[in-house]
Amino acid sequence: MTENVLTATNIIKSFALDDSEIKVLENISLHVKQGEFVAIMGKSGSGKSTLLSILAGLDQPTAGHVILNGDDLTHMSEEDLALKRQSDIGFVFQSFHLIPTLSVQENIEFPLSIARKQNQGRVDELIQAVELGHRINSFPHQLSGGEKQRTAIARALVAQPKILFADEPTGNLDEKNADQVMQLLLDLQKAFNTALVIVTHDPALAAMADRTITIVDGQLV
Amino acid sequence: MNGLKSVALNNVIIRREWFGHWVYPLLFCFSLLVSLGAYLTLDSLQTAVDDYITDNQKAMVGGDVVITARQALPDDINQWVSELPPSHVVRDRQFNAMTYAGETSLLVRVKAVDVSYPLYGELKLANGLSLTELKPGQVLVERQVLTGLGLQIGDQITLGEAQFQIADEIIEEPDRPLTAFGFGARVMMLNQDLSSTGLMGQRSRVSYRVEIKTSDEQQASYIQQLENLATETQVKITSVDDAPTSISTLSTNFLKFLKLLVVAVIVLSGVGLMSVVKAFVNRQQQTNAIRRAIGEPISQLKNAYYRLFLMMTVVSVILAYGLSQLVLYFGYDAFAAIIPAQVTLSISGLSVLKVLVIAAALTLLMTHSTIQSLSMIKPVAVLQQQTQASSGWYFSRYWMILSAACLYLLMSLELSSWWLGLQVSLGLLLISVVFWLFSQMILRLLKAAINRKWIRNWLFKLSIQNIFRKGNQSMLFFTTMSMAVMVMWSIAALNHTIDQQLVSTYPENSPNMFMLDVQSDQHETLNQLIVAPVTYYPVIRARIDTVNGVSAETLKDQLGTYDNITRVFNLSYGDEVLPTEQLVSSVNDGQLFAAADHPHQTGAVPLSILDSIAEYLEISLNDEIIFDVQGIPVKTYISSIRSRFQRGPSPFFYFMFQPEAMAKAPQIQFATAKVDAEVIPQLQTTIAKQFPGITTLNGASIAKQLKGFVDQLTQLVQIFTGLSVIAGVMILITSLVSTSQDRLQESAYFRLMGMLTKDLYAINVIELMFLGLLAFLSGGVLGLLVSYGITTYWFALPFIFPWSVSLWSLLILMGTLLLVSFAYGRFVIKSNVMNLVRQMV
Repeated sequence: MTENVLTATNIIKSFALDDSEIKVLENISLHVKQGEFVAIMGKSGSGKSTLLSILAGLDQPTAGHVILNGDDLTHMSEEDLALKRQSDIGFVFQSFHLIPTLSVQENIEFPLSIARKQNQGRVDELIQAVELGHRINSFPHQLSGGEKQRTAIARALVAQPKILFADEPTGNLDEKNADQVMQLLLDLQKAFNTALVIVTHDPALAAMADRTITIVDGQLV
Repeated sequence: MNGLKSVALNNVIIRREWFGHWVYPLLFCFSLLVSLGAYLTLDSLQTAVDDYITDNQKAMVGGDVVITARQALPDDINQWVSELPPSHVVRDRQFNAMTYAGETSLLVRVKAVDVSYPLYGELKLANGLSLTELKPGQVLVERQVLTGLGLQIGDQITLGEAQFQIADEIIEEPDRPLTAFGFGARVMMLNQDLSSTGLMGQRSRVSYRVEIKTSDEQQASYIQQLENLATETQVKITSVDDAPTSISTLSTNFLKFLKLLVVAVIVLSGVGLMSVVKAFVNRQQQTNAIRRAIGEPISQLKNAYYRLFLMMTVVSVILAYGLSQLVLYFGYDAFAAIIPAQVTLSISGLSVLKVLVIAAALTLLMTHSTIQSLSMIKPVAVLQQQTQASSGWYFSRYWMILSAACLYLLMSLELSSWWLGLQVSLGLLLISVVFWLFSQMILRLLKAAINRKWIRNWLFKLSIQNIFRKGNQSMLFFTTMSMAVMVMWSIAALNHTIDQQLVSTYPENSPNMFMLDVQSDQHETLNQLIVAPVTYYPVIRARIDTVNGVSAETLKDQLGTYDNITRVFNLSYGDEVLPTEQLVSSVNDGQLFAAADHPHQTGAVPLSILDSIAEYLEISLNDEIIFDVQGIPVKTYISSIRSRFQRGPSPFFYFMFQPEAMAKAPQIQFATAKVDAEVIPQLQTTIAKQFPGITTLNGASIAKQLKGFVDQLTQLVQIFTGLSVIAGVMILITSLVSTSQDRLQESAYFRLMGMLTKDLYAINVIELMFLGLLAFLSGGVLGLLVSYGITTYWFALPFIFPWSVSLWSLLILMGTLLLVSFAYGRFVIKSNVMNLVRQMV
C-alpha cells in the first residue's frame, strides 16, 4: 500500500478584518500518496492558492494540521520549515521565479547548494531531461518562457523532493509550450515517483491528474 | 567542499547583482572613501608627529632637565649649575629686539647660548659651520633676516649697541621645529657676546633657560635638588618628559580637533552607506523571497550580505589608503604650519588597522537594520505574487545603545580622556538633535505651505511634494547640509570681518605703532622723532598671591580656562579709563578709585579691574586681591570695574592702580602712536639706532603675519568641514537611488499622460535645488547670527557680510545639485521610463 506523503486535516484559514473574520478555507482535509498526481481546481478567489501555500509550508493555517512525510508542518518554526522545503518540497511557480543573476545550470544547482549537498549526476540528468544542455550558461533574461519553466522544473526536482507543488505552471505559456512543459512535468514526476500537486483552473490540465480536488468558496466539494 | 560551494553560490547571486549595477558599489565606496581617507591622513600625521616627539623629545626640549624663569636666576641656582661639566649645560637667553642694517630694520628674536648648544639634536647651518667655530662678534641668522634686510652671509647687522657679522644661515634648530608662530626672525649668538649689545638690563621680556644633560638615573636627583633651591622663587624645574613643546601644544591638539571633525563626517558617511545598502536590498526583495521559498535559511541569506558589505569595506579602506597617500604627497604644504619640516610622513600599519576596524564597525552598525529586516521576508508573497512593501527603518534600542557606545569609545580614544570623550559625544549628539529639530520645523513649514495651496504652479508643487516622498532622506540631507553650511559660513564670515577690519584696512582709530621697553627719560626724544601724539603706559609686572584670602595656586584648578591665575600680569596705573573702555560699576559713584575717606581694609589700596578678569576670578566690588610686585606684597580691594567697548589693536590692562600707589614701583613703559603707515619702517630703524633697547612693532604688519598663520589653520578647518558637505551630497544621491523605483513608476504615469521630457527633468531638478537652497539659506542665516554675535559682542567689531564667499559657495552647491539631478534624470528616469510605460500598457 502506497503511503500518504501529505495529509491535511481540518484546515481552516481565516483573516481578521476590522471587527469581522473572513474565512478563506473551511475544514479542508485531503491526502496525497507517494507518486500521485493531484490537481486542485477552483475559480479565482476560491482559496486554492492559499491552500497550496499551507500545504507547502509557506503559510500557517488558522486551525488544522498538515503532516508532510511524517512531520507536522503546522507547529514548525520558520527555520525548520525552510529545512523542510530544502529536503522534501519542490516548487514550480507560474512566473517561473528564477534567480536572475544565476545561469540555467546554477539555478538548477541552487537548491542543492543551500542544502549543502552535491549531486552533479542528478543535475546533469535533469538538464538533459529538460533539454537545456545547450543553454546551461544562459541567464533567465535570455530564455524563452518555456525554457524558463523547464529550468524551474529541473530546479524543483534536483533535491529529490517527496512532493512537488506547482502553481499554475503553464499560466504564462503559450499553448505549444504549455503542452510541452506539462508533459515534461508528468514524465519527470513518474520517473522520480514524486507526488505532484498542481493548482489550476484549466480542466484539460486537471484531466491529466490521478485525482482532482475542487474548491469552491474555501470548501472542498 | 559542499559548504564552500554553497557559500560560493550564495555570494554569487548577491555579487552579480551588486556589481551588475555599478551605482551601488560606487556609492558604497565613495561614502566611505572620503571620510576614511581623511581620517587615515590625519591619523598618519598624528602618528608621525607623535613618533617625532618621542624620538626627538630631548632635542626639542633642549635637555634632560630644564630650568626656566622670566628673570635672572637666583645665585644659589647659578652656583649649583656652575658645578656641572660645561659640556652638559647650556644657558639660553631669548628676547625680542630690533636689528638694522643701513636704513632697514627688522624685529628679531635673539637667542644667546653657550658653545655646548645643542645638548641634543643638531643645529643645521647652511654652510656647515658649527657653533664652536663662531667667533666673538659673529652671529647666525635665519633666512628671513637675510631677505628682510637684504643681506648676505658675511654682512653686518647692528643689534643694540654692537655690530655683528653674519657667519652663517640657520637651516634648522633642534628645539624650534615649528617656525610659523612666534614673532621675530632668529638671531643666534654666544652668551659671551650678549653683554656687548647692552640690551639685557633694559629688557622686560627675557626668557631665561638652563638646559642640563644628565643620565636617567641622575635626573630625579637633579630635579629634587633644584626644586629645593627654587622654593619661594618663580623658577620652574621640568624634566624632559614633562616639558611642553610647540608641537605637543599646537600640532597634536589641532590635529586632534581636525580628527574630531572627521569623526563627525564618518558618522554622516555611515548614514549614506545605510541608504545605499537599503536601496540595494530592497531591490533584491523578489530574489530573496524566492530563496526563502526554496528553503534557504535566513542566516545564510544574512551572512551573504554581511560578507559582501565587509568585502566592500576592505576595498574602500584600500582605496582610502591610496587617497591618503595622494593627499600626503600633494597636500603636504597645507599642513606646513603645524607639522615640522623634519617629520617623515608615511601611513603606518597601525593607522590602517585602526581605519579598518572603524570601517568594519561602521559597516556592521549601518547595515544591521536593513539586513535584520530580511527576517521579515514572507516566502508566501512569492506564491501570491505580492509586492512586499519596502520595510522602513527599524533601529532597536540595542542598536542605538551600541552605536552611541561606539561613538563614545572612538571620541574617548581620540581625546585620550573618557570624560572629555563623553562631553564631546554628548555635545555632538545635542547639536545634531538641535539641528534635526530645526530642520523638522523648516520642512513642516514647507509642507504647510503646500497643504494650504500657497504654491500654485503645478510643476513646483509636484517637485516640492517629492521632498516628502517616503524613503527620501530629505530630513537627513537638510540637517547635514545646514549644519555644515553654518559652520563653514561662520568661519568664513569671521575671517572676512577680521580681515577687512584689521588686515586689509587697519582700524582708523587704533594705534599702529607699538613700542616696548621705553624708559621715562626717552619720552621727549621719542615724541620729537615720532611727531604724532604718543601715549605711554607704565607696566609693572606682578603675580597674584591671593584672592579673598585663597592662594592663587589653590584657585588655579577651580577657575576656568579663560586665563592662568598664576602667571605674571601687567599692572598699570593712571587717573582715567582708557579711550576704549567705560566704567561699569564703582564704589565711588562713577570714579575709578575710591575717595580718600572711603572705609576700606587697613593697608589696602584701591584697584580698578576689567569685567573679563572679574568674571574669571569670580570677584566683585570690595573684594580683595594681594599682589606680589617683584617680591613686595601689595594688598588691594576692588574699587571699580571697567569694560572694553572696542576691541582691536589697542592696549588694555586688567588691573589699574592710582598713580600714587605704583608710580615708584620698578616698571617699564609701553608706548603707542598712530602714524602714517608708510613711515613706520623708517621710524623703526630710527628708533632702533637711537634707542637700541626699544622694540618697535608695526601693528598692521603683525596683524598680517598673524592672519597668515590663522589663515592656514582656517583653511584646514574649512577643508575638513567641507567633507561634511560632500557627505550631505552623498546622502542626497543615495536617497535618489533608494527611491528610484518609485520615481520611475511615477514618471511612467506622467509620461503615459503625455508629460514632456523637459518637465520630467524639471521635477527632479527643482526638488533637489530647492531643498539645497533652503538648507543653504537656513545654515547661512544661523551662521550669520553666530558670526554676527561673535564679531559684535566678542570682538566688538562692526560686522561685514562676506558677499563674495557666500555667492561663490551658493553657486558651487547649486551647480553640484543641478549636475546630480540632471544626471539622474538623464540616466535613470529618461532611459528607463519608456520600458515601464510599455509594461503598463
